[in-house]
Amino acid sequence: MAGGVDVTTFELTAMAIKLGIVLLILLHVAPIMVWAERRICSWMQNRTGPNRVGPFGLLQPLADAAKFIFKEEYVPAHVRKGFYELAPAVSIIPAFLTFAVIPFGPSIDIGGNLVHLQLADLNVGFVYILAISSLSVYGTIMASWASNSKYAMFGGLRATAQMISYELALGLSLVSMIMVYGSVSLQEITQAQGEVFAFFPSLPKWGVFLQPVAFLIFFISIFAETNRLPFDLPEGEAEIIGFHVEYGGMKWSSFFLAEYLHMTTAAGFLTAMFLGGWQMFPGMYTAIVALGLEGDALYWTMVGLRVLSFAIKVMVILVFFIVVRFTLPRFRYDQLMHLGWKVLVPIALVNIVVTAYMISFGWL
Amino acid sequence: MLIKRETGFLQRFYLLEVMKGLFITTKNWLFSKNITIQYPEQRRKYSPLFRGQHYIKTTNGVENCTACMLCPTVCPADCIHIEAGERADKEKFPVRFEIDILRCCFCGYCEEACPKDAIKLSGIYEMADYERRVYDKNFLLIQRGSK
Amino acid sequence: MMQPMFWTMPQILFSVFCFLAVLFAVFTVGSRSPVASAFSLVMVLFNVAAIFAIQEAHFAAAIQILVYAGAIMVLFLFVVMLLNIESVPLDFPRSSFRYVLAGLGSLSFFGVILFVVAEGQSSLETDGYTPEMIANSGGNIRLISQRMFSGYLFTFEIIAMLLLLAVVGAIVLAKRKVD
Repeated sequence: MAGGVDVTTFELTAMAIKLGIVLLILLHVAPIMVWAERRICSWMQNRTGPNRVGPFGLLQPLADAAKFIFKEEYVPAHVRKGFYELAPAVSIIPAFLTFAVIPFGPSIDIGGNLVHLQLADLNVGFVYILAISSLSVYGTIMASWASNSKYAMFGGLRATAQMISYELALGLSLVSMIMVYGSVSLQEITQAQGEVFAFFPSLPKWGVFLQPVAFLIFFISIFAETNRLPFDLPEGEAEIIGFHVEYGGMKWSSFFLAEYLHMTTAAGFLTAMFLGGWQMFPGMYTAIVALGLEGDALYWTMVGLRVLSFAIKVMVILVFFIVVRFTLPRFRYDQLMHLGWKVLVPIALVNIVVTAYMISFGWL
Repeated sequence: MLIKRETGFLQRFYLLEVMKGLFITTKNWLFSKNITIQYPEQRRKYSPLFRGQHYIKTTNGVENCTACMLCPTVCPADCIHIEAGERADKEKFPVRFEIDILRCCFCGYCEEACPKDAIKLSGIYEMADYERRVYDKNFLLIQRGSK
Repeated sequence: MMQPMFWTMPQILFSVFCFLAVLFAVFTVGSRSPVASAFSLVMVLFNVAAIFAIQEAHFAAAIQILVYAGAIMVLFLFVVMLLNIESVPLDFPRSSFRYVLAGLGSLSFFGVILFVVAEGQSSLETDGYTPEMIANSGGNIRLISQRMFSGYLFTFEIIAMLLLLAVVGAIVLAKRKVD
């Protein structure tokens, strides 16, 4: 960027609007997810859940946030002050950064200017997500170390080992996806998923159909990476050996905000990678053609439906996260490591080799 | 007792079992009825035999109690304190009638022992209060329920 | 001849990240607590990655963060935290001979840097790789992987073998201690 790039006012405005919308949505995901988590959990357990604050209890997260803000900022005497204060910020910043490369819609044409519905189409593509989310482990380490307590330390060590182990399986499952699509740009991958299979034209070429094994490994790994329940050893609700045992109030809840942001990003990543991203669901296109729309109306309906499809897919994944959380018991630590290193990594490696053979034979 | 169950071939893969579990939770989520009630609005119907907050029954504005001391005698928690006295219209009446409600175990023996049908346990179970109530005579004379 | 004193945005960012990198490097060396040192080193690596990104070497930046900041430093921290070294007292022997050696070493390194800065007018050999050419042939990643798996395949495999040897050696050493 030595000479600088020509940035028009239009591009700047578009960027600012996109950034504003994405930040707004990301910030609202956490409270809504907290509400959804509590409601869905209680419905599964034949309860009602929070329904007092606001319609259907939707304002409950606001009440919770108000409680957290007005709580006393208690700092235990034995902590290492500076790092203790810094850790929540360190864990939350990568969570906000990662969503930047996820395309939530196609490139749209506004008066001759092309606007990508994606914050940044970096040429490193999703490697950026991997890189930045690998930094999020520092929030955990810093919190556990700064707490200067045994339980926080154990929680932090477990969390770190878990996140590093599953990053490996995650990366290896993505390698086969790179081989199939020949690109690391999520926008290009999403576009490639718009095609259909030759032998069965109503089935789109989504990653989940091309690479079911990679999808499974990726799916399991993001549960571990986001510290969700079958692998929630870092939090350790049951025996309270978590990296944030010494935290309270808004600092504690910012760790949770980071967790929900990671979940959203992971769901968006999974959607863009394996579920066709903003590609419409099969049948949607036939439906709008049947409606008889033409020209601009058709174009904007399609854009709207595509963004909607992306949102629906992400929401389904997020709800699935919740359903899994209240279904499965937690893995023991040795089972976790066994699954990560002795099951997922070898399967991912075999998958890469098989994919390479299939590509060289021209089957993919 | 520890029962060792054989793990089947398919169960070793775990995925099928996960699917089954997800099916069960989703079934509960979508199709089963809540078993809880919304308490302040909805209330559970209790038996008429329920033993709740105490009161002393009155007839024509006069307490039934004659301070016969049967209830403090029978009380296993020893929480009823009565001081008897004489009055123009009544040969014997309780000057003080206090129940140490923290010690009361709501066994209902006092109600059974009472020959005058005076001390009663009503159906009221919401006994939390904003003040420190003393369950003295004035408070107990408030008529609660039709029992 | 005076250059106009307007810096472009990349230049400002470059200076900021360079300054931060040096600052955290000083922290890394100067901090008493090993964990604080390690965190500072993470920041150094992160700032270097940012400098890479400013130079349009996005892949190098991403890999820098992914491998060094994301994986290696985490293992460093892991070990430091497990050993639980609180703070190291500075009790190495302060002989004048060591001071002289250290001074000579840092002076000569400084000289190298000065030499590079003085000679830094000519650009580095780019082997025909211009930003336009990289963009036209499909981006950094494609080019790097093509070079890595064609021209440098042997080197790549040798390095992979070396790393494998290191892993096996570490396991052997750890095993021997246990037995």
